[in-house]
Amino acid sequence: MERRKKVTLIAGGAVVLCAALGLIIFLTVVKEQPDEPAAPPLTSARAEQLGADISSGDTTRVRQALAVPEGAKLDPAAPGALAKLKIQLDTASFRPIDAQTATVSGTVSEADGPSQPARFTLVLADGQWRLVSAGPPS
Amino acid sequence: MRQAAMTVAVLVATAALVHPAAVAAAAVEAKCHSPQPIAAPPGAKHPVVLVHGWMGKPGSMDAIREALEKGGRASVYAFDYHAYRNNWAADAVIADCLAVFIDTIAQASQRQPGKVFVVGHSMGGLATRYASQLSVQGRPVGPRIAGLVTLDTPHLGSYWGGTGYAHLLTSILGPHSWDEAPLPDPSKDGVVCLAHHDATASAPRGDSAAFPSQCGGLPPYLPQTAAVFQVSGQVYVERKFWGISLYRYSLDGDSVVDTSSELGYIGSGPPPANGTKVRYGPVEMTQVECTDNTDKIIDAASTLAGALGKQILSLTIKAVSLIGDNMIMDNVLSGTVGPAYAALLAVANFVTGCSHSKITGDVQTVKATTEKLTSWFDAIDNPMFAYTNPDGLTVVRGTKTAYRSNGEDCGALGNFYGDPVWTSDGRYVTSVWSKCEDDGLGPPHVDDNVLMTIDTRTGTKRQVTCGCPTVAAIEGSKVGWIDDRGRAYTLDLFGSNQPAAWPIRMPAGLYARQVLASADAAILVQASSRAAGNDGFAAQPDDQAGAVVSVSANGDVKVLQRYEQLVAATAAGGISTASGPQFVFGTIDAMGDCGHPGPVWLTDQSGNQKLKTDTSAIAKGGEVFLTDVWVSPQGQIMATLSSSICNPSGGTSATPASLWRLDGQKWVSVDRGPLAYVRQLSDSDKAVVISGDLYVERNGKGTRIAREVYAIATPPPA
Repeated sequence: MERRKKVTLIAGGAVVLCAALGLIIFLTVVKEQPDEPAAPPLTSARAEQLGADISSGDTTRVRQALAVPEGAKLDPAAPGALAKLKIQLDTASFRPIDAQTATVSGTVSEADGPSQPARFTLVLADGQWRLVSAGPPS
Repeated sequence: MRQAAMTVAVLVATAALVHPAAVAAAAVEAKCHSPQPIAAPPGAKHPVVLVHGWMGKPGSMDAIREALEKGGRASVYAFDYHAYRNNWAADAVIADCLAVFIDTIAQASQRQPGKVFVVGHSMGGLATRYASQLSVQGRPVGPRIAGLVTLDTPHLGSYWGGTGYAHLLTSILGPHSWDEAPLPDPSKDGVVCLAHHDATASAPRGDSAAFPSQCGGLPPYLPQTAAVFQVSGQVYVERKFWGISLYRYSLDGDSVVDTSSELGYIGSGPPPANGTKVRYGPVEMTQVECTDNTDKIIDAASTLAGALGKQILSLTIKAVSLIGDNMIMDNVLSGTVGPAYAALLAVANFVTGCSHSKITGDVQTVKATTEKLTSWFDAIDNPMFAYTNPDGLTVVRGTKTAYRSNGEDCGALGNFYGDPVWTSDGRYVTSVWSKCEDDGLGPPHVDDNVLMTIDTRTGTKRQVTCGCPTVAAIEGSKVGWIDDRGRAYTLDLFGSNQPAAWPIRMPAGLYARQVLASADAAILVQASSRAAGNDGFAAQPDDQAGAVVSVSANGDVKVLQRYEQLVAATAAGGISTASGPQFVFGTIDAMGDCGHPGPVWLTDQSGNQKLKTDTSAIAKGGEVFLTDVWVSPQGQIMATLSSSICNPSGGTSATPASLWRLDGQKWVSVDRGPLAYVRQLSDSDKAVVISGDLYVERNGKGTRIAREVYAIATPPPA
């Protein structure tokens, strides 16, 4: 019954959503084997590297830090805008979602502005954690 | 009392369903009861039926209902089949019941014969297509449908159709869904038939397959009298990082139905029988776009993860880091949906304003839908037609002048103007007009003639020098003509195109002189046996030997009739039929005290054979003159015909100009006139030209709106 109530929360969406969710869960279950390796930790060195790369103003480093897929053309203004950010990740708050995704808390400051608390999501790609998104803590 | 009676009517009518698959009518009857009695549409309002999507409910279309009711011109009805979530659109409990629903409303309408508009979301559009092939108590439902708006309808299926996903859903959620209603059984047609497919098994695409055999056949096209407007939701995703935009890409559809399926009406229906051509009415489309950013999508995935597990969030994060335009294109081309892409589609469907689930409430969609329906209402309430007279080319809506392109008045030199000709898409009207040039050689020359054109959507007018005596619609917004030197051109009136050469081959010894009529890109040409000189055909000595030649869409030519003296073609018209184009034409074959018309000819659908029509009811001892020929909205060949007995004083009328219908090969009287031109504009309105005066008659009462009218024409049926 409790489960039913929770599901009710998403009932506003179409049934197709549920079909899609079914697919997602299935595929994940299939992919997640019992012996799946645990997520590697986010080291302080990697956290600092990510902060440095994303603020570097260099397109290549930004793409590496942000896990930008090959097909995506980065907005030419993005590296410059990101260079005005200062990002610090709190590795102690690192929480794996599964072996390949995680969240971490930290701060973002813009130009000379105050630092603001932030929540980051990360993905493990090519053996390294990369930033996916950043937003205020929920 | 009236409402109760109508409810009973639904049930009674259901018993008389005729279904191609011979569905048991009794079984349908038991399930076809509408929860709401059907009230007759009040007054002159246009009935609009809203048909929700698979597993949806009528309430999901409330935004469209409210907008239409606010507009005050629609009477809105909601068809409810949410109890049949295991069923496919073609099943009797959906398509047959919808057929009864539409027929009942049409029968109750104060406008007769009643016409119904339909807005179908997702599978609701397919249900309407299946319903259109049914009859209720011998009354075909298709002709009752005036127009269909499809909102994200999967004309060619969806990524999410098929059985695999539904099996999983059942295993996860149990036998019931969120609203306590049973989940669809994955083995049932409602799931199976929504699978992505190609209409032609011989040309598979990606994951597509032939349409499952148990699904009632491919959804039929609506009759040609019904317009279709496809609305396609286009979801875009913007990758953001701390509010900074990184890149943006399209999900190629509404996150459930891909673009090619949303806009796939043409090509999704049954292939034509051998030797016939697929027929459908005007099809238009629009795309509504909306964008959501990855922050919002990840937030939504986080929320969903709290209810259904962390995998959703994990896959969505991976999707954001993996998916760019390349991956979307890979998925589109291969027709497959990988797990990360699936996650992104699913969450986008949940949060994005024009996604599949939300499009019925999307502001742009509601606006596009109501505007299209309003334009369709206008076409019925204030039907459009055009006429030519000394003032120029005029477009009329109802009884009011909408647009006019003023023709040049050449005064004593004399004017030349032709019939109004509508493009096949019904958007543009054009007419040949003379340009005044006093060169001392008599009336204005044909080689100075211009095409006057009017865009009836924008009112934009344009003149193009054609040097031609006639113009014909070819296809879409394209027209064609032959100039006074025998050179043929086409011009697409959409945009600011310039004329392009039109390769028309004539048989040896014949030279194309003017286009007499067109149908389905085939044309009827008057050809001369002498080539145009430097001064054109019009300046030739009196050599009028030639022929009437048909030219098919693929360029095949056939001499229908040769003439020693072809004075003029009196009238000619093209007719689109399921089997091909046909032409009706009449000529004046000789001059004496009078012009002597020949027979009124009808070609067969191949355009290769001509048949002499039976004009005996008109002749009465005289010679029959064809003034005008056209096709009624009901597909009948109509003409105004007269006859006169020649004598030295110019002739005595035997039968005044009057309205006739071709029944087989025999002309039968419809209206004894006198009248020269007539067009049925709507069920209640018609335009009539009597002795040069143009009247619009509404319910038998005429209003004169112009004098000295040369000819009138209505746009192709919409």
